[in-house]
Amino acid sequence: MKKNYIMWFACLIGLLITACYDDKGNYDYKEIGEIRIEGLDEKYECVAFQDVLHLEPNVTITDGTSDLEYFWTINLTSGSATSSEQIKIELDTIGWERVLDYPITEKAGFYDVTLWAKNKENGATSIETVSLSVVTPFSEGFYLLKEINGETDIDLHLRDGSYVMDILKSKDGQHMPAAPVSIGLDPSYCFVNAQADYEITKALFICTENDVRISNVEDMSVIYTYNTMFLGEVPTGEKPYYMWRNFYGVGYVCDQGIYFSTQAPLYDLLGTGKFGLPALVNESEKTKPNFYGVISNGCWFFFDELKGRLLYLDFNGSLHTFSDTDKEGKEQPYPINGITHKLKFFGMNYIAVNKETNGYALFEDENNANKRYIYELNLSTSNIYNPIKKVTEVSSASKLNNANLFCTYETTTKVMYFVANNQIYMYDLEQNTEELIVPTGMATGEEITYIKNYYWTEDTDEKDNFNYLVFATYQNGKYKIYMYDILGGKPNGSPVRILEGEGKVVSMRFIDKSMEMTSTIPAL
Amino acid sequence: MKKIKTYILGVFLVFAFLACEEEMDVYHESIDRLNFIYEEWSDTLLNRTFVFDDKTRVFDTVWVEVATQGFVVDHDRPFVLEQVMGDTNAAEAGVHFIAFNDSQVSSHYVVPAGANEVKVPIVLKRDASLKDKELTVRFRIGNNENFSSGYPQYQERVITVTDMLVQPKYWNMYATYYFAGKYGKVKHQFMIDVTRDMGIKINDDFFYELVGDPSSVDMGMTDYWFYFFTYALEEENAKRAEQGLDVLREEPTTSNPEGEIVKFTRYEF
Repeated sequence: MKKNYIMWFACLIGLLITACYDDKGNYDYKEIGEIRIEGLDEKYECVAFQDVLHLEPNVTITDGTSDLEYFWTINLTSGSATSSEQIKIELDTIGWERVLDYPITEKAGFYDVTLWAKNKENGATSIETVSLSVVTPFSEGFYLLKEINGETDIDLHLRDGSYVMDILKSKDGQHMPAAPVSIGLDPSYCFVNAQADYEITKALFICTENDVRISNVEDMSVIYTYNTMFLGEVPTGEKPYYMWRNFYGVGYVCDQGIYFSTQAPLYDLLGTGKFGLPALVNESEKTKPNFYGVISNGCWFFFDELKGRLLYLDFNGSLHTFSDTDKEGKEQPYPINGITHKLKFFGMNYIAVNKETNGYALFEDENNANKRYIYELNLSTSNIYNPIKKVTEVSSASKLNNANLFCTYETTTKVMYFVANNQIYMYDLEQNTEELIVPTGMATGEEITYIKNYYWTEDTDEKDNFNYLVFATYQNGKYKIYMYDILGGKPNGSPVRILEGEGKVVSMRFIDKSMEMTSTIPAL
Repeated sequence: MKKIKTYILGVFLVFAFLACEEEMDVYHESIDRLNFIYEEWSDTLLNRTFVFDDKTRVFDTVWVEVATQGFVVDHDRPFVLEQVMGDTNAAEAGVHFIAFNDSQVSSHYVVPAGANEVKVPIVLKRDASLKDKELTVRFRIGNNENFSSGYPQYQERVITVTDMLVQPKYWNMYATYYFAGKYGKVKHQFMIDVTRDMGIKINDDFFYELVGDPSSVDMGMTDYWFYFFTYALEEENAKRAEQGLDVLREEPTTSNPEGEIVKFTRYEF
């Protein structure tokens, strides 16, 4: 009896204590309707300051209610060529209705446009994001660098056949007042804008004989000129050669040295885009680069005329030499340092990351202007030994001895092209034979001013890829650009495109909106 | 006996019910306390040198920040700082810094009404004795009618003061790695000399601007300075060679009797 009494009391205590807990759970369940957003495409493209983005999605709720509120946001796509983790991406609200009509005022680039649909009754929200590509009239096409009355300007030929002539004159009120030298491209160039903020854009680098214009492809405005592109004192007496994206930075080469401006927006490494001082070999030796150079595996290979040697600027901006010996320390028949010949051309082929790139350096004998040599080189950054694979003396009968324009077929076939006496030849770099090329549909009698194997093979839309042989001609103050598909290393059939305009074309660049920092772009 | 057990159980029940209620104490600490705010956790050292300053500059003010612990009140609350003696190279109050009880500075040692933080000045004096030595101003928060000491680990600050070259705080592993290489007094003096005409001081601010935030170092800028000093050093060594002198070296040490050759390096520790 006594035990029962205690047990009952213990139960009572247990019940009393647990009675303190109040179950505040809500068991009045009601199914929340699913908000469905449909009717939107995955991608859109608009021209800035011209198009209105019209999006009209169907939005439904499965529980039949319809009391929704909406807003639309836009933001730079994270990881795109003009964005960086270092630059805060902000959502900008651009609409409060289901149907969006938004006049595009954004800069060129890739954006996320997101619809947020919220059930007013219970706060449940659904979102749907589409990709928007904003382009400008300058975002895509062939930029032609041309000489016009001894001065420099550029024309843009768009894919649709339209064109914009004398862009620099229309922007600056005048052509650049010296002859053109080169045109380079960086699809992801970082600089400091007027608000002292980092900005990332596509940039064109125009070099003339005495100036540089770093142009924002957004609107072709000036980012820097030669007088403003240095961090310190502006060097005097330099002849600009070329500027380009060199992986973790931007390279600038001139006759007095080679510069590197570290920045890699893709990896959130931002910079001013300005240049410091020329890089030194072993932190002590100056260089005197030849005009020609090639890009392989994110490095710039060039010939140092000061010491007659091949060097390369690596992707971090450091200069490297090669040994005259092989791996075993044996002297090789042809040293890579102390070459006394004059470099006439330097090109390459077989560009493929992690595969061997062949460089072809055409030298003129220092004592005999009619004697030339082709050095075949292994342009691998993992090789620190003598890179010379073979040296071939060009036959005395070859027209190559008198050529003035050159290019290689950069992709696969080991051939180069040259112009001698205003005629185009293909030179087989394996067989050392040459063949006159007469492209179909190319007018005779026009002065040939530029030849190049130009290609773009990394487009997100494969139909926009191309691989052309390009010949520029000049006659009576006008140019013509003939672009051919290639078959067996030769121009195939009639020109795919012919571009025409005023002036004499000396170089070109193709820009596509989908280009990124790491895109493969033909060199000089 | 039975009644006693019943009584115990009853009391137990009362406790059991009371246990369901939890009464939170309100903050009732009556003593207000004061702590230093450090720029970095547990780092109290501040290095100051007059070496970059014009000869006419005889004072340098270091600002330190304190934060209260306790209620914010509606009246000003003076507090006191006092020197901690014991360092062999302790600075002398009134000679190397304005004494903490001097009204020129003590009048600033006040937490204003309604505030819980304040920055106050420590004024260093450029005494001639600093030309060849580095002294230490070690000080702490003292007790007075308004404040007592707060957390023990936030009670002391140390300022070193000299008129000689000292390694800037931000000539750290990042500055070493990106452009400056290892610290050396001769190297530091060389950097000061070659930038003097540019109006640049190779001090804490210079290094802080370049590598103060290691997550966003502008390597274009650090590269620029690396090559700037490298080119200048090449030029200096060429001049020395013309005069029959050796390349620039640090002072000899027992481990390196010739003195280490001055050079700038990148991407090395």
